[in-house]
Amino acid sequence: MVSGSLVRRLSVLMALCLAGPLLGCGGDDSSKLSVNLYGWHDDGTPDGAFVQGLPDYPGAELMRVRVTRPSTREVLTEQTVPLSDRRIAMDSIPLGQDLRMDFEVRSATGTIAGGSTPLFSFGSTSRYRAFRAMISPVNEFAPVGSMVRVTGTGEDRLVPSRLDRRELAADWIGRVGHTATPTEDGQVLIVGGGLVNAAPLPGSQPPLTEVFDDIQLFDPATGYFTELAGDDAARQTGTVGADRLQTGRAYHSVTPLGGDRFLVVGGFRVAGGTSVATGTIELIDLNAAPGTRVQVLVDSSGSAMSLNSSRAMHSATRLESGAVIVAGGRGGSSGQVLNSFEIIQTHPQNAHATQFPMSTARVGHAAVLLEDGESVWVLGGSNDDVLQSTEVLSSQGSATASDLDRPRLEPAVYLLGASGSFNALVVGGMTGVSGGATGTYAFGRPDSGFTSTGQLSEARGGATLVELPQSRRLLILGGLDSNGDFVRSAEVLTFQGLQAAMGLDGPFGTTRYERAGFAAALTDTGRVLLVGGKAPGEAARDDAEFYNPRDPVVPPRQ
Amino acid sequence: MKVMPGRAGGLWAVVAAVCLMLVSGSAWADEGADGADGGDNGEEAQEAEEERAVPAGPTPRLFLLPVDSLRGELSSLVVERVNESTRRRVDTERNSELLPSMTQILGATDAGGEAALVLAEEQYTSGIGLLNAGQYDRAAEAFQRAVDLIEANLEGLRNFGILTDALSNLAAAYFHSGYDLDARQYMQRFAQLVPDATLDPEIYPEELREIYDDEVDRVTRAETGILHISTPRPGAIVTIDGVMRGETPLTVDDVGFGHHYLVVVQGEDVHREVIRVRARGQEEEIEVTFEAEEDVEAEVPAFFSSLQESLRTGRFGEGVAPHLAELVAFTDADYVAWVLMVRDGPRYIAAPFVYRARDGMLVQGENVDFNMDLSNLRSRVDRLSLIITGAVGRMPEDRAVVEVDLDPEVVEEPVVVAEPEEQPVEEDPDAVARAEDEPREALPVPDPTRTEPTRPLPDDPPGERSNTMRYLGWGGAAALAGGLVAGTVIMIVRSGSSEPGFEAEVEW
Repeated sequence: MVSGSLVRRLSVLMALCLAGPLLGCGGDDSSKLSVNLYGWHDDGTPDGAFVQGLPDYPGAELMRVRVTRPSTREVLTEQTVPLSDRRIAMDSIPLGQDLRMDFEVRSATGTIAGGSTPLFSFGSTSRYRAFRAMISPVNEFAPVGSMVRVTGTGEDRLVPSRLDRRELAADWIGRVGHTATPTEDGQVLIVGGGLVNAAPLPGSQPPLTEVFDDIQLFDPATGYFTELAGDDAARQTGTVGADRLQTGRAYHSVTPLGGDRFLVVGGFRVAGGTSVATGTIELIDLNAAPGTRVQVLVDSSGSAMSLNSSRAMHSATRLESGAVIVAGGRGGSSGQVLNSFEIIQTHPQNAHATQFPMSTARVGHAAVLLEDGESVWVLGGSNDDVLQSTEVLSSQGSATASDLDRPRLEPAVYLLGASGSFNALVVGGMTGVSGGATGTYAFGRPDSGFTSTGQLSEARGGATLVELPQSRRLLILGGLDSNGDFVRSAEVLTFQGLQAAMGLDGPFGTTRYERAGFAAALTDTGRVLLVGGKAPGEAARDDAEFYNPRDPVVPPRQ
Repeated sequence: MKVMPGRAGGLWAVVAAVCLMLVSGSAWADEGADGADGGDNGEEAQEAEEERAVPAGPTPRLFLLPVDSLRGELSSLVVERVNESTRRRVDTERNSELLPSMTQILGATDAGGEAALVLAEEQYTSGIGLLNAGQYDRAAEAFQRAVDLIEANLEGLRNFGILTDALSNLAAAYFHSGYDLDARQYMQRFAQLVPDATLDPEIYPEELREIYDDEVDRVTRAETGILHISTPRPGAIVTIDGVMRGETPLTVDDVGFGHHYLVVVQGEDVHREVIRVRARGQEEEIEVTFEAEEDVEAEVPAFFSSLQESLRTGRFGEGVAPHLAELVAFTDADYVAWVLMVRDGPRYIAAPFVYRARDGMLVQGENVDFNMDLSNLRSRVDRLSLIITGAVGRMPEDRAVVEVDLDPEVVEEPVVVAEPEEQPVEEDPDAVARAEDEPREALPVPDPTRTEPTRPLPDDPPGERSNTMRYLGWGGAAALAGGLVAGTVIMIVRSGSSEPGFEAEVEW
């Protein structure tokens, strides 16, 4: 009689023999990317509606899916199916790095909605990746959405995302005066900010009541905001609460230094019920160990270094050498406008700041790095009155440059051009310290003056300017109009050459909420993230919106 | 056509599989030659393995003893703060179910009602005296007890000013004791309740007065909020900060920013709550539900008191096992955890322990240090909680202890009880000297569930062997290899000239 163990072994042996050929045939072990789409549409409520799957976009007929490499403007493969199929399967997609999957919902007239995954890489050893991607109308604003699990019911729900307040004691963490800076892995770093009890006037000292010391990371892949001091790494290492600014601040500057290191300089803190400028400097290093991701720069004596003059609302520009020029702003005992700039060297153990005088005290100016990589051109701003002057700052000091075409406070500026031949494009700005705005834009050079070229559809001071990476067009968002009201639409400038005819598209869309003072950053999904901001009479917002520009990857002409 | 993986990667997989099958096949063949009767012993070994394995199943139940200090030497304020925070934090972890405390189990509460308020007033008076005498630590303890008692019996409080006075004096006592954060918190609370007070500079230092002024500023700017208060049945009496405001359903539109004391009474039902008002014109809904209160005083079981006393000495081992066993039986816990704190220079050290009921295994987690002013309370409690809940279910063997003796000067890392498998050869004489100075004792870890498998008894004398298994083993290996080779050939033919790539599937 055969024993039970022998029968067991024989059975296993037979199974292995059958499995052999299957192993040799390879089986189904292919690499796979799985994407689940969810949509947003305007249902008449302020937050609109998120749906699993896609909403019923009027006229929508087709879904086009493309796998692209945006950095090199390549379209690797694409496929179009009727929307009613609800599914697309693609195979033999080339492996590679920095890939993205773009989605377009198309009607008879063109693309009406779209979205993208974040950038991803798929190598020979990659096996399975999964994303959830948001589809929303193009050239429109939509709330940032994320999937949350409802406590108690266990139900999964798509909801508008908010800043992470789980580890914060503050009652309300909506904010203005914060910064939003892209990180090297496609997230957005949001630093500090505060609450005000009235809308700040452009260039004027904001009436802050509270400032925050938290640092948040936004992940476009999930839609979550996560406070650095309470992220997974902090929880695993028991350092929850450690990675925060040593000094809470608003209206500071955050400058990327490379390698996911960011320099946080100055800003306002609140003391005795008023906004007081600080000269402290901190370094955020996202690659440092949890609990040590916020550091102070130390000078050669080992002491924490600070600015020579405490300042807020200044400009900060990184030079190619790695140093940072901070210029102007407000500081001093009474928050006066400053007429100095400082060059901050960030060498480890030997950080220092050297101060130089400026030709004119200014705040609310624009600043752009010139083509030599070591000079910063500051334009406009205010010093009791709105300024028309400009000056170039460098390690040699300050040199007066050509005036703007008109006085501009909080203009947006963009440097156009190639080596040896460039122009600065200056857009919009307030024309008075207590009101008035312009929608004009002008080209100019430090040594040859400015030429007014055209006009936006709406006057905007303090607008945000974002270069769309594929088309190189300029997206203009937000700002205040002549009455000081928040401009809720977007416009797009198209140009050819250095001063050739500019085309203007828009205005497009309307922000879901008024958000004067928002912070914005372009994400690698192609959407622009707008965080915080406030409406008159209301507390600053703790949520965010996306603007979804139409900026498809188009291969360059051969 | 399915997409095949990269040809090179597929071939390596095939080669590896062939080798694996050949080796396993030959191993089977050899095993078959050596142990025709290995089956019975294998079953025993497997059963022993199953015995050791922790089966997946319900969430482990964890009983957390109150945080205590070595020989009770630390202020109750410190251990109670850490205890409260640790319980709250552990309760949020999902890999264990935190059982109610002994007090909650017994339904014991502090002396309630009138008696509690009388006691509170005595504590308050005592605190005033201690504050004036400069005994700030003790003053803080007294004021804290007064505040706690009053907050637990708000409905009987006739003079709300005692509570607010207690809060402001508590802030002062904390400030003078060096607990800056607590001082700030209570001074802010005071400002939210009494924004028009005048603070005596003799009692309240400038820093505290500044905190008060800043908070009053904040309260003023935030203006008021609107509260809509409702109860299951209308007609409940609503009191806010000691002032009767009306009956439910009630809308109150002049409540300032910050923390306020809400009491809702309907018949014998009482609801007390410290509410946080956002003000700025915002409306908030408060739906009150009355929960039955237990008013039974019960004695703590003797084994519990004995256990706590034993642990407090800092020296314990098998002697506490009976008390732990009784506690386990009383609470139906799978794990019992406790934390002992001791002062070490300018900081406190907390040593966590986790005891597993089913086998009596005890592990000591790594120490966690707290600042003297508990300014790092939150992060350290997080760490402590992770250590405790991390040990539940995992019980790291390298942390197992049998006898514990906490040195009051230095809280040592636990003695490693497992004997190292290899002793390094030390050629450096200094290293040899260190080894001699620091002898390591290896103690066996008792594990009553582990059974040694018995040595198999061969059925046949050593000279006689069965060839059946050997033939089966080698034959199987040959069949596998043949199948793999055939499959590989098929794969190569089928794959043709395809480039490496991946699939994608999009759904909506």
